[in-house]
Amino acid sequence: MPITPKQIIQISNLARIKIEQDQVHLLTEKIGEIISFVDKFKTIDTNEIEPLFNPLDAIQKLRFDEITEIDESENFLGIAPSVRKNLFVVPKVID
Amino acid sequence: MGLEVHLQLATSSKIFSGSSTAFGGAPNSQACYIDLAMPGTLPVFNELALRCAVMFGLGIDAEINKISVFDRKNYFYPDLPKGYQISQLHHPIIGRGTFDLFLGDKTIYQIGITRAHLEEDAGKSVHSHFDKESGIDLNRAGIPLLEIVTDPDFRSSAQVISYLKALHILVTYLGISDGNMAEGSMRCDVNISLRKQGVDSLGTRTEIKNINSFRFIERAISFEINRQIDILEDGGEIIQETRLYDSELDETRSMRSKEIANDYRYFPEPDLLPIHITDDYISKIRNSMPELPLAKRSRFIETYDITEYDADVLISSREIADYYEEVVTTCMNSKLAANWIQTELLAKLNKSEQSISESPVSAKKLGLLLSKIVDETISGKIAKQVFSEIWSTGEDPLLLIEKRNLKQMDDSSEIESIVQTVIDQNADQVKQYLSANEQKRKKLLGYFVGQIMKSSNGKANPKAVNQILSDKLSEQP
Repeated sequence: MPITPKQIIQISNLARIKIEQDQVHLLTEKIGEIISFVDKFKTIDTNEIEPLFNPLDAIQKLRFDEITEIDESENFLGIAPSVRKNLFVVPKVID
Repeated sequence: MGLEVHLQLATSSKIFSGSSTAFGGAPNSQACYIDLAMPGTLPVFNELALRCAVMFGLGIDAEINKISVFDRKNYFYPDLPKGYQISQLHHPIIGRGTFDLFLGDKTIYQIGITRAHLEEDAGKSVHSHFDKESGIDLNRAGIPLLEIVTDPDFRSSAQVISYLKALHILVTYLGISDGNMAEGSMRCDVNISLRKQGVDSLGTRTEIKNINSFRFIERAISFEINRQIDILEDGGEIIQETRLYDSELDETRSMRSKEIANDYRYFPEPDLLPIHITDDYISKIRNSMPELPLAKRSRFIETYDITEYDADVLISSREIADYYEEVVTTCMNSKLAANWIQTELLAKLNKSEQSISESPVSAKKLGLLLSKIVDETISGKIAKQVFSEIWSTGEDPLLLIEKRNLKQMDDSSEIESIVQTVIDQNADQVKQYLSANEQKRKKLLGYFVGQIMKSSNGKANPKAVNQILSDKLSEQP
């Protein structure tokens, strides 16, 4: 089996995607099929091939270091569900 | 032990956006739509952040990767609006290098640098004033960081501290970071693992996160080492985990969040293309590099003939080193300059909590003052008086010496008359001197010299005094 039900549950936790218990089996099967399909690539001999970092044959354009943005916090804070003292309010974060 | 240091790079705008990186702005006033991960926005890489990283690579003589790639590190946390941090995993900008540490005993201890990579900082959670909630300030989100990772080469907290100090000196010399620990420009995670004596492999490690002062680093390390020893000696096992140092309770404790299997599901960042660095780009940066601390250290020891200890103090910042060299060129005595800067200038600056660039006495003025000791116009004692006066008044030392008539008395007839007076006034001591043995004579000579200096207000040239005094005493019947 390319992927186990336990892994499906772990991935859904990491991605914060809620899945119902009765879906786990179906998802394991479906995603397993996709993985098996993609795994076919592994049979290709890539010894002589340089790794590709990006499909676009281009390099990163750089930005000059200057401040171009102004303070728009009023707009951004204005659309947040909860704000206090100019801070976005979220459920308690415990470290 | 191995270290991960997060260094904030000295850019004025963020790594992928044009928001300001200034410290201390009102919450969320320096977070634009890119930093907030608004739909449809794209990051654009800041050239200065790249240049800073390359400078660091050149500074430690590390491999600089001609192609480097950004990756997404995925995790959910309220201070991370995108749900991922843009970082570098497989192709960091800086590869292997070494860092030389001088540990005071003339030996060089080499720390392996595993890698250094570019990444963006996250926002800050604020807990005070909030009860069952937290506040999020995203001003730090997108601040450029260079994460510098070492091999597990450290064997003591003293080594860790001296590495951090040396690293701090290096990055401030290069001007790639202000290295301000209190403002979070230099943060340190320590990975600690133990092994039994004679065993090669290291045990399970724990990581202590985000310690922001030298003192706390030392304490956190010693607490954690003792904690691990206790567990192992009781036959227990160390759990690989991230721990937080609490400076108030002076202990480390397990972090409850972020602990669910550090599975960040890295993948190449599709919004950014690979970075290509040309040899030309690197050599331009190489040519613009300042003299590095260690090179300066050896040059100072060699050219100025000063001790290693003195050199370490004098190179501890670029400003102090520059100041020293200007004083030396003015007074032409490198050892005197080294002594004065350490015992007088730095001590006074320390007291008044000023940096050398704020010094009330400029390098030029100190140099001129010392030049008057060198040419024997004034004594060291008088020079100290002049120094404290120009410290508070900002006056020119040469004018002050002139004005106060502080010049050393070289006129032998003047000195002679003072010496004669002292001899006349101390007939008993002179008698004692004449009948005394060698050792006692030395003591009495010191007494006479003291009296003479006192009546000349410290201005008599000590060399001349000694000569005239011994002549006069030998003439006594």
